[in-house]
Amino acid sequence: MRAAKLGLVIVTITALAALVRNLGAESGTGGAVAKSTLALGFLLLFAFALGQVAYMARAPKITGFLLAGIIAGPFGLGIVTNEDSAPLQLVNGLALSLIAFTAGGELKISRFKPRIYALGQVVLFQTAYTFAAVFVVMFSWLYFTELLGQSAMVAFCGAALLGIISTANSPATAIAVITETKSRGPVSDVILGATVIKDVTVVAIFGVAASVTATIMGAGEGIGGHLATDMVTEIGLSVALGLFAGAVMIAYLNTTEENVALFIVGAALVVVELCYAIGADILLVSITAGFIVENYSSGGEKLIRGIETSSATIYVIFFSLAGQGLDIDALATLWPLAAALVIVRAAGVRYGTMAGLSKAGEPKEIGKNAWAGFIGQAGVSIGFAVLISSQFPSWGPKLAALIMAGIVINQIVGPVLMKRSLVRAGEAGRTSPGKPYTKPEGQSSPDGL
Amino acid sequence: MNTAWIVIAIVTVSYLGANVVFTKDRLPAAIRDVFLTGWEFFIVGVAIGPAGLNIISSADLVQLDPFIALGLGWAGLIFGSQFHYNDLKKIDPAMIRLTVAQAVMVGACLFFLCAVILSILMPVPFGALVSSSLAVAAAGAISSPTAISLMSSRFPKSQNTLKRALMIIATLDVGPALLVIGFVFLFFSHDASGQFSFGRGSLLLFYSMVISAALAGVFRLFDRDNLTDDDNLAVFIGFIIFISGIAFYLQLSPLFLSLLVGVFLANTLSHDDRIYAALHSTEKPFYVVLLVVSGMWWQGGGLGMWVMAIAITVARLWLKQECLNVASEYYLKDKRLPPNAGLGLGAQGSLALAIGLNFLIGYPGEVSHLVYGVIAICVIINEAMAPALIGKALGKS
Repeated sequence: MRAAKLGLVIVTITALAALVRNLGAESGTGGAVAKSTLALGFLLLFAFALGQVAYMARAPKITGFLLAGIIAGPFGLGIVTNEDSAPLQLVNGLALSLIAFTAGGELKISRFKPRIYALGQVVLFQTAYTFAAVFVVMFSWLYFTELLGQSAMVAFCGAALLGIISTANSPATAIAVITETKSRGPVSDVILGATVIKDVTVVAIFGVAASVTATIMGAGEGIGGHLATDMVTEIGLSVALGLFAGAVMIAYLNTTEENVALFIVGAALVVVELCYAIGADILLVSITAGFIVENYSSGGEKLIRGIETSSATIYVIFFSLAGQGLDIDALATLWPLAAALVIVRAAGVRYGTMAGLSKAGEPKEIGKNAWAGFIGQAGVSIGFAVLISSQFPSWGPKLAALIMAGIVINQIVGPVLMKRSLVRAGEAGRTSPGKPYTKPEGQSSPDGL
Repeated sequence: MNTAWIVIAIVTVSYLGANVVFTKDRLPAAIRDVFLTGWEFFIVGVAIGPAGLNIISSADLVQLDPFIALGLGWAGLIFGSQFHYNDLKKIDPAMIRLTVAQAVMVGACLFFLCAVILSILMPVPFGALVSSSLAVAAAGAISSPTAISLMSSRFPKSQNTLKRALMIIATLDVGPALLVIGFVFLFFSHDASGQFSFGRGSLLLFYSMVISAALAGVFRLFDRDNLTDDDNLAVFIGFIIFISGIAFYLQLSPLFLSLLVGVFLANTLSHDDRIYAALHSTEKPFYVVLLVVSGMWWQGGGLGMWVMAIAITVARLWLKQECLNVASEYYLKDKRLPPNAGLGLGAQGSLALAIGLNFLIGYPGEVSHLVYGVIAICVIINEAMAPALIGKALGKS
């Protein structure tokens, strides 16, 4: 019954959006801003409905949100074009910042301290295994198929970059699934902690690798050493800005408990704009700020609670827009190679995670479940793909297309695997459940009518 | 300045405003009354807008259109959701007829007065003259219950019947006004000529009804009783953005379209549905945001605007009193309201500003700036005088 209702919702809003777009086209109304507003409204409702369908199918809601973006996007029904979604980058950045505040706010030192060695080992082994597995397989494939050209050096550099990008994860996906499943326990801690650490390390490693590649290939004159220093500068700037943002948030949360949600939205907007202005990373700044608030004030709980009041809206917006931006065309043409990349990467992640945890003396069960939390891939990897495409014009676009195709699969499969693992580990539903709705007694209609 | 910084500026001002606007206990009583309903935030908007310090320029304002459409959609929905048939049945039918009659009489008189003054002030094509005058008339016909509600504890219990009557009238007389602004958007073209088109308007009206009914149906189908508060908020926000987007896209009035959806919802949802709590939880910040944004759109005006505004304000106050007397005598007969009661309907409230703003972004041009300026001046004067007028209506009658 519920599925039928949701089906009807999906059909009705899709028909409405199509009708309105046709009417607008006929009468010549609907400027760019109007199109974006309509697209955002449609995407929110459409993705929410598909998220509910995914939930009923025991998949994470974010898988539904991502699929909604893909279906509504330029490679699907075309109701939300890239033109429509371009002005929504501010909303997207805002959502990312709020998700990252939550991720930082979850990183309580006292909770992670006993596992800090294990996290280090997971990052180390996972990075090494994933890189090695992807590099070896992809170098062979790229070299023998000559996908990037005949040069062995290009195949070598391409495989190396692929290997590094494969080590990147999606902190947003991890925190979204953990929040949705209300998980708490060693598996969730390992996933969240290692994902955040890797978010920093992978940026630095990629910067160095891309610089070395540029020097070897002679591409992008003057890029050579700059790319690495640029990325290190970006990390430094981001952490500094995050510390400052955290201090401001602590000052506010220590002063008042009023309008916390409104304040956090305002703070996130400021962070997003400052990041755009000075070239800092939204994710890193916001994670740092959330981490500072959680660990150096008593306001962490207030911060998380403030964001949680609107977290469903944030996740719907962020992941449906992420889905809308996924390059399905690339997947259609490169799917065999992309599938190979995904499988090899998954193997590297799985055995790397298990090896790291085993070295740290953690129970095997944690490793068997935790690896699934590192499959999701999004923002940082997409950014790297775009960078490769622009910095190495002769072979970069082909490699970027392959990376994007792999991301599409990882981002759809990853959350599903992660939810299953958290449930299997018995960690789902351990944090306090959402406040059930109780109908207020004797409430009259507005204004006492 | 880019959109984000504008939004940050508005959020900051509104945040500060929402904290102080309804808590002015430390101010002297006389000043506190003048600023009773928070209209000073309109002045704050003027100060940071193009007519003031130009922190937010005219070019920046255009970027706010989707946010305004969103705000207007919210306002229409909150109002439409009050039209619950079973609730309306509890009100004396004579009171409803009286409310509509006084609003129509005041609106009609203001329409003609505005048309005359506008045609004297500047050459305006006939269609634009009619649509502009209708916008002023719609905003003028509205009364606001906010000031009455804020002051209600000050008056003796013996005045409770009159207070309730004024609250009902001030709450319901917005209906005809929103219908009028909706019809303006449907039937008058959005170019400089403002040409009337019955065919296009009727077709758009038909589509508006279909879309509103379909949206209300979608809202019900979400099966929201099984959702968490958090999920409900997501549905609610998506819903308002979708309605506003449709209205914005088809050049309909977001106020009107969401009013229709609100009416459909009010009559299909249960009385204690969470949509009411969600709508009302955002009322204060929204109110302040609307005042600040309205202030930013103020671009000043010449002597003609001020003369017209003062003429409309004086005429409106007189009409509110006299038309209520006439309607009261006709519909209530032996239970007629006191002669001064109409003064209690002096305040126009933020919905009048919303109508002006809606007209301004829907019909950009010199005439609409004049119309908006006139509406804004009327609203501010009436809001500042409202406590005194309500005192006169409730205290001495």
